[in-house]
Amino acid sequence: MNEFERRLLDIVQTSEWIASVARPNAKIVNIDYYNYNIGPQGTATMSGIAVGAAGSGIIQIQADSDFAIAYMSGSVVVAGAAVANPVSTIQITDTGTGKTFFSAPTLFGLVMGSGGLPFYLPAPRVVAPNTNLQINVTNVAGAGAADYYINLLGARIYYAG
Amino acid sequence: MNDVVTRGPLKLPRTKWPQDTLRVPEGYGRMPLIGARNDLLVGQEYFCNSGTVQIPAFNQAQIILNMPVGNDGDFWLTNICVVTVTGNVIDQGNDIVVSLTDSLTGYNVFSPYIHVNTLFTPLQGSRINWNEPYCFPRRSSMLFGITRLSLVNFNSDIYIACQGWKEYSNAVQ
Repeated sequence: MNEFERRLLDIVQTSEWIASVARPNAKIVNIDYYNYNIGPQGTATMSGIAVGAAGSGIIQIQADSDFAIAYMSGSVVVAGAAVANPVSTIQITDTGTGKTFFSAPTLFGLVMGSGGLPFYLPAPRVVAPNTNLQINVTNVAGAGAADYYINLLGARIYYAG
Repeated sequence: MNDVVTRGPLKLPRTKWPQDTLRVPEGYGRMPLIGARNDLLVGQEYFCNSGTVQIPAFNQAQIILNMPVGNDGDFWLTNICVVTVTGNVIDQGNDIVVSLTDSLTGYNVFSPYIHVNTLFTPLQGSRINWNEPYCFPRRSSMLFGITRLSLVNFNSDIYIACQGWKEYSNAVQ
């Protein structure tokens, strides 16, 4: 561990934000910015979703760290152009706990940011290691078949042992 | 409970809310006592309560949108996002007023209505935080009363997303 990493670890270990998401009585050994994402590339079920149709995909959280989500962002692309206000809904389900992020599928722009600005979560959402997050989208009333890009931004938290 | 949700608490200020001391009369409607308190907090995580309802054309009567909070935890509301969809297009400028009531305590969060363009945000990119979060206790519902002030000849779907966090605690019965 170099000096920069050691100082960073000192800071995050005393951060209130990290304290709120850290495992009780566990030692943090590293923390990294990370962006788990899913998009049409390599995920056919998030690509070319026709109007009125639904798509889904899986984001797999790595086994080596917790993931604390701080921001979410996304984009809907129709015919090669990003849609400013897509009439699409999204739901995210933590398949490990069975809990959803939203009480019902929610309009894309209300929870995924807009205009390049991400949605800043009022409180962090922690996902356990080795967990699948299921993303469900529905092209409710788009201008045409849509591609979906979803980003979950936050920190990977590594623990000793 | 998964250990992921048994962490915390966040360093949130403790505020006295009406429902802290309110007690539903025992046996009334078979409702339980409200006992969830911050001092028994065992975990918090982001959550969004959302819903949608259609406002019919030529309708100026109040429409109720009910969003149940659920049984597993209290919901702390920090801000609300609203848009309407008319003719498959999102319309961010709306002549709509909204009331919000906690169904369990009867507390009206607004006095009595607010216009959606004054306190709600159309999209999350232009987010506004409320000065203080408001707690809807478990087993309650967020009752929205939605009234379109203008007489218009088209249907609109209104989408409401209530942002905040779910708070899991050991309830005192």
